[in-house]
Amino acid sequence: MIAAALGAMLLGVLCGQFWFPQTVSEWLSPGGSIALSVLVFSVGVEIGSDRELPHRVRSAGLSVLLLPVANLVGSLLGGIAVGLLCGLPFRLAGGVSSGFAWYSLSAVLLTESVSEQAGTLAFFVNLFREILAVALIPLCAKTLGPYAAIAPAGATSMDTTLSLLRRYTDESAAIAAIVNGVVCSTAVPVLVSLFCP
Amino acid sequence: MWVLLDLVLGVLIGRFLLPARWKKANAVLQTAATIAALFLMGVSLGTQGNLLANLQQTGWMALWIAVGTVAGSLLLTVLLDRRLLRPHRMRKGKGGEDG
Repeated sequence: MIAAALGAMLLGVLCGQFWFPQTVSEWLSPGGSIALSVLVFSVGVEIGSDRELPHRVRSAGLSVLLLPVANLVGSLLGGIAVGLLCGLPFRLAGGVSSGFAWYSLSAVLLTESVSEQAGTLAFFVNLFREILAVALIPLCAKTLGPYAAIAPAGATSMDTTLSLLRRYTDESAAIAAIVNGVVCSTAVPVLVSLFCP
Repeated sequence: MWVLLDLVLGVLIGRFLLPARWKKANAVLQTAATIAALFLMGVSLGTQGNLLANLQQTGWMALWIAVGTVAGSLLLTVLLDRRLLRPHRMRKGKGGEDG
């Protein structure tokens, strides 16, 4: 998926820069909003149609819900602190940190609500986070424990990094990873639109 | 705010209306929408002149912010695990119930 996402964005950049006349680019711009609506709606359908989810949460114990809370709050505190040090406004720092490694959705949301530059920043922040997660999961699982390994993954702990988490942690941590992924994924559109309305 | 309404509408339809056999179609739709949205985002980025300069500046900042989010989430998760989850698991284990 990383390759397809990067390829689509790169192709779009090349088309915009070299091949498409200005009129075509302007004509295409409402398409971005439509694609985003479809994407967010489809994410909702995916979350809503997971009928096993309430059962999984109950079987893992309610304390497992504290894990995504720690993940969300920690990510925001760390991301906002570094963003402010880099000279970003508070709201934008919060907005780009609210992607929780879901680079495609956060980038499109910030492009729509702030600007293309904000969207690009969100894309790279969250792409780098996913890459960091893939690199850090084995190390964190070994040195800090199975639950800590879920932290860098953010929203990807229910899909792209789940197989890696399963391999390096145990069954209860894998269930916690799914719950963490669902909560973080739901939080992406909510928090981005709160920080950058 | 429409993003939230869109999301909630999707959750309700996924929960109450969507037949299970359409889940795969939804996954395909999601991938197609992601690719389309990123392509169109690329097009609007590409129409700006100073793209490369922007990217050079943005890249490093993005990496540092990503490190910040990972460090923050790790710190709080480890604290939670050591202070709360681990003692809870140990108590459960001693009780000899479902471990």
